[in-house]
Amino acid sequence: MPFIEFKNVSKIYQVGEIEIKAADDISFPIEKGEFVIIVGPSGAGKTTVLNMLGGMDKPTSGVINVDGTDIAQFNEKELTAFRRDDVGFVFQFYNLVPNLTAYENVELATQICKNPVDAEEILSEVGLANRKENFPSKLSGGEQQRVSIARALAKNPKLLLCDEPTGALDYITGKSILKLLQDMCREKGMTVIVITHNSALMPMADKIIKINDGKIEKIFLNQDPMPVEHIEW
Amino acid sequence: MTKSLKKDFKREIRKSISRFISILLIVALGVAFYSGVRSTMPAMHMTADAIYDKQNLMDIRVVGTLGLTQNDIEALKEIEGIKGIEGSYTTDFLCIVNSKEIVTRAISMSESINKIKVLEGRNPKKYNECLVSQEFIDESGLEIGDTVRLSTGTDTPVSDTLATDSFEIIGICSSSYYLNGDVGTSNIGDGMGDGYIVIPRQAFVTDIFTSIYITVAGANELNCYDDKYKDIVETIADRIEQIAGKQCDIRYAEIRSESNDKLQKARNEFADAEATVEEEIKSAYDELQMQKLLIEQSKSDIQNNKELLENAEANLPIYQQQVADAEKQIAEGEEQLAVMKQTLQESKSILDDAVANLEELKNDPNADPDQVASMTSTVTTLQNTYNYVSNQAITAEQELEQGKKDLLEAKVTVGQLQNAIANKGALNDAEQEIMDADAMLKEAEEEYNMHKEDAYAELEDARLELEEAERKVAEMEVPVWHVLDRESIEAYVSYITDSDSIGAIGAVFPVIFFIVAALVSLTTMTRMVEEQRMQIGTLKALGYSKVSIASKYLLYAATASILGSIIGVFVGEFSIPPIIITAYRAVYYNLGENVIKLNLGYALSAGLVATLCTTLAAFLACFYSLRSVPADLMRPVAPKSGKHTFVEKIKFIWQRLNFGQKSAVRNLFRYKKRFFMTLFGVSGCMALLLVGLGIRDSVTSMTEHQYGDIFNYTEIVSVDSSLTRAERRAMLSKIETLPSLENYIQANRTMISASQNSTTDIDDEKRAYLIVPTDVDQFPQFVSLRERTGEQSKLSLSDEGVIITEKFADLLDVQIGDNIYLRIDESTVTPKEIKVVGITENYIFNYIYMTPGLYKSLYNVEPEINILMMKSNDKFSTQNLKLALSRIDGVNSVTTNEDELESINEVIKNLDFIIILMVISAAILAFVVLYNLNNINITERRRELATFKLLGFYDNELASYVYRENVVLTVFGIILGIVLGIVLHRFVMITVETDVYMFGRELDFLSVIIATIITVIFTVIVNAIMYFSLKKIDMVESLKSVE
Repeated sequence: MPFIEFKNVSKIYQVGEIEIKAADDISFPIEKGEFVIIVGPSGAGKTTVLNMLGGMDKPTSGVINVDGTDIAQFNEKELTAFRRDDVGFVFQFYNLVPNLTAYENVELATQICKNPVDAEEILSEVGLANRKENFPSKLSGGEQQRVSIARALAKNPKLLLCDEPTGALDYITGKSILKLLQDMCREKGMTVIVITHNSALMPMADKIIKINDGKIEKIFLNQDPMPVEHIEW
Repeated sequence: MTKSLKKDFKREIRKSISRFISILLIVALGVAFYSGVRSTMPAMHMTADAIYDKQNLMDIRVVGTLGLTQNDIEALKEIEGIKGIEGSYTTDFLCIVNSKEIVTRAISMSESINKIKVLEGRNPKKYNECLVSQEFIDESGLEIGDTVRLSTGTDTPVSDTLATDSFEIIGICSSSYYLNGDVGTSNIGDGMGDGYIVIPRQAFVTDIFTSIYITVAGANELNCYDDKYKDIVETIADRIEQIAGKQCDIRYAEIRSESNDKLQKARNEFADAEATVEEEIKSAYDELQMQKLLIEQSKSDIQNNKELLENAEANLPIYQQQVADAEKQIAEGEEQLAVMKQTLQESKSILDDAVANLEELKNDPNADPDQVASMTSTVTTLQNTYNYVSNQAITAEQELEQGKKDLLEAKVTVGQLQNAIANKGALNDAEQEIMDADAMLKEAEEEYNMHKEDAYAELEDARLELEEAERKVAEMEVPVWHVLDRESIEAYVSYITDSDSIGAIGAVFPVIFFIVAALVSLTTMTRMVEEQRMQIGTLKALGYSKVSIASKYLLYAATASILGSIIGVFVGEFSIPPIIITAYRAVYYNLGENVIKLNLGYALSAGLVATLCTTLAAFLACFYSLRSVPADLMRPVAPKSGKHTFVEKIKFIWQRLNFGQKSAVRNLFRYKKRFFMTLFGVSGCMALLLVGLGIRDSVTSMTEHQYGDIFNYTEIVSVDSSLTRAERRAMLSKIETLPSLENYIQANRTMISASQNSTTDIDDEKRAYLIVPTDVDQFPQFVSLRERTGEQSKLSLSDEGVIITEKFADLLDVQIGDNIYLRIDESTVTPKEIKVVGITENYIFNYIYMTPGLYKSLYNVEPEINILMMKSNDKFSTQNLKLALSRIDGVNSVTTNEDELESINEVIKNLDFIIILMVISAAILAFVVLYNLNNINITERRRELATFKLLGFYDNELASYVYRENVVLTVFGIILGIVLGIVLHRFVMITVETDVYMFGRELDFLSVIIATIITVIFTVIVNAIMYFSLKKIDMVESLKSVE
């Protein structure tokens, strides 16, 4: 049984008379320690998948197994606990609390979850040991995203869910962030799922899931993922 | 503004209708409160002025210290500018109903000035009919058809003033002169007028007017609270003052001759009384002496008898012996006498024989001459012998007779003695009787002495009175006129005071709401402009001018606030004044219909300020945005950077805080506007609550101190001051037998006026009770005299000067060592000057305490005893004690502290209205401010909060993260609110304080706690409401880009 598994997951929104199938019978497995990229154009249903995988939304039907538990059956509270303890989020716009320093933004995660990693240590790991007392507004976009990743990792989550992590960053910074994510996956055996519309990133992943029009277009494994440094787009 | 901008403006309003309405409502609220409360004072004035005009209330009242005459009226009529003039009689009487003493003011029926309104019944037609005030009905419990019986409470009979002392109640009336039904203070009874009765003019037997009422031409048309009115009345008053001197001289001459006649009459009466008393005492003395003499006589008789008896007892045996002896002697005497008679008989026959022999011899011529001679000598010898014996016999017989006689006498004596001895018992009785008589005599003597003392004392009183009267006449000064305006009417002034209080409160409290309205619209407009940065940038980029872009927001704010102001003005000015006037109507129940007019001044000023504030807020909000270049505006506003705060320097504390606490600390310092607004809202709410609760505290602590610490007596018994000494002694001895009595003290209580200098107008003088206890040493047991502040040192009365109460000292603006001037009533021409030697803690009414010695030196008479201060235990219920006291002759009425407390508690109940008003205001303030701020807070931080949710924060964790700041701000707000509340409370208490009350100035700790709890409840409610908007935040928003 795979670490994460979507089985026939559908999400249907009822808008008046019309049914909109945001996710239509989606199934895919993800193994532990895999670097997965979910890719597709805007409006393909990536976000719906992300929402369901991240415990923000429940499917209309289907099963979502995460580490042996069907989170599709969770109630609000259980979903919150799932997000709290098992999922690390990395946002496109970093979503740091402007009023807290880098260190404190990491604390934000460590102080609520069951099994946290030391905040200082994780900041060093993302290369921000000397910026930890700075407020987000004093940090560059890349640095902010590193804080965001540190915050996600500090929880010691089962999976790292990244929503367009490079979307607001320039090319070089974006690359360094992706490298960081890849390194974390490789070094720590973290399951990393990156959602992006940029198909150029596909070569770096272990598994690529292509979504279009609410359906899985294609799933393919990359036997030999490329280091980020070698990818150009 | 272009067409499309106009369209945008209209759509903007429609789209953000809730924001538009919220600005409109907050402005309406602020304006309503402000214009409503502020226009209450003018509305109160207009309402009162209307009834004054309708009932033609006097503008000027002239009072003369020696009364006024028809002549004065004629003289006044000559003055230009006087519209109406009317003389009037007013006298205070006591009306005792069910042993309750009602101080009743009898007023002559008015003709055209100070008209009364008959509420029930009809106008009096006969001289013994009367209309009464509602107050009088309430106090006396009498009804229409009952009879009012009046007494003077002094030894002056009612008939000096009135044609009758009983009047039938034929109706109930009201008068704007007594707007609150309160007739004010009086010189009789307990000094507080209880009600009035209106009687026909013909019921007054005097032709000396008490006052002359005058209306001034043109005054009726003016609002009597305006300066214009005061000016024209003053002009006429000045003219009256000018003729006063001349009229007073006339009156003086008139009264002087009258007084002299009266005085002569009084002198004669006194002389008669003196003679009568002397005569009575003399005859009583004579009677007593006579009795004494008789008893002395009897005593000496008894003494004699006693001696006799003793003699008799001693002499009886002797006398008896003597009788026995005498009897024996008589028997022997008789025997001897018989022998003597025998011898005499024999001697006679011998003599006769011898004589016969001699004759024979003689006739015998032959008889021997010798023989004859010897014979003759023998006969002679025999004759002599016979004569001798015969004489002896006679003597013996006589002696015997004498002896018998003596014996008889001796026997009588013995009989007497025996009788006397037999009567010994009777003598003892007589002795007892005389002893009883003696005791009775002693009693009679004591009684005589007592009566004599009383009689002399009363005579002395009468003499003093006469002397006083003589002195008065001798010292009688030329009268003066007091020309008084409406401010000499107590109810008129108290209405002004009350409306001024509302005015003062109106100047402070609504401002709070006004500021809130301004602040809330400022934050709302700022928020609106921030939200529309992008649009502003776009318009700017399209080339619209700053003015045309800004005009949308300015117009938005202006439209909302103008509409809000209009609604606020109408709602406020037409609802708040009637509510407050209606509340005051409970006191001033003689007010006519409400006169509520739109007060344009307050309406415009409130509306203008509100509109300017919000428009300016909008302008300020746009100003910064409009200065930026379009490119900046199109980008999202950079979130305000976090800043390190000084708290972080204290590592010890900072390291112990979690991120939420850290964030809260930084937020507090970051959003200063929000910080101060929340602080303002919470502290304002707290302060309003404290004021509301504090008013009750102040009144309660006032009564607690007054009746708990200061007045230690439990009852004041008003007694008839015209009692004779004997009557008073009888009354006191009856009172002393009451089982509930612990102690009592006699005192004089008089309502007097005082001022800080001798030239003060009498209507500016302040009224107080003058209390003169007879026993200065015991007095502190009944009334505690002490300073309120500092060491609360005890004060004691001395002949050096008077002790006055704190509020009174404030009113007169005097300190210890200053002099004050006392005036018994309006007829006092020269007030008495006296030094203040102490200022004592007191809360209810004003008192002047004086020693009897000082009183005597001031007024030359002993203070008249008219009250007893009593201390009772609870052996009797108040009801029973009153009943028992009312049955004692000489007791007029009883006032218990319990009654006073009860009536004050009634007043306190009325305060609930104010407290509710304050709580509602506080709630509105708290809700409006906190809701608005929380709302803005949550909207601004929506993204942050969504992130928290997504990161797996539970709803309550999220709430506590957001609320933490609110909690801290609430705590700060409460602390600031306590300070603010104390200041505001003090301001309110000083503002609403009247001349007769000094409210407690302190807030009760419990009130602070209650206010805190209510404030916390309000913030909790607001936060609870916010909890739902927190829950509604969609975490997916965190994934979206910044708008």
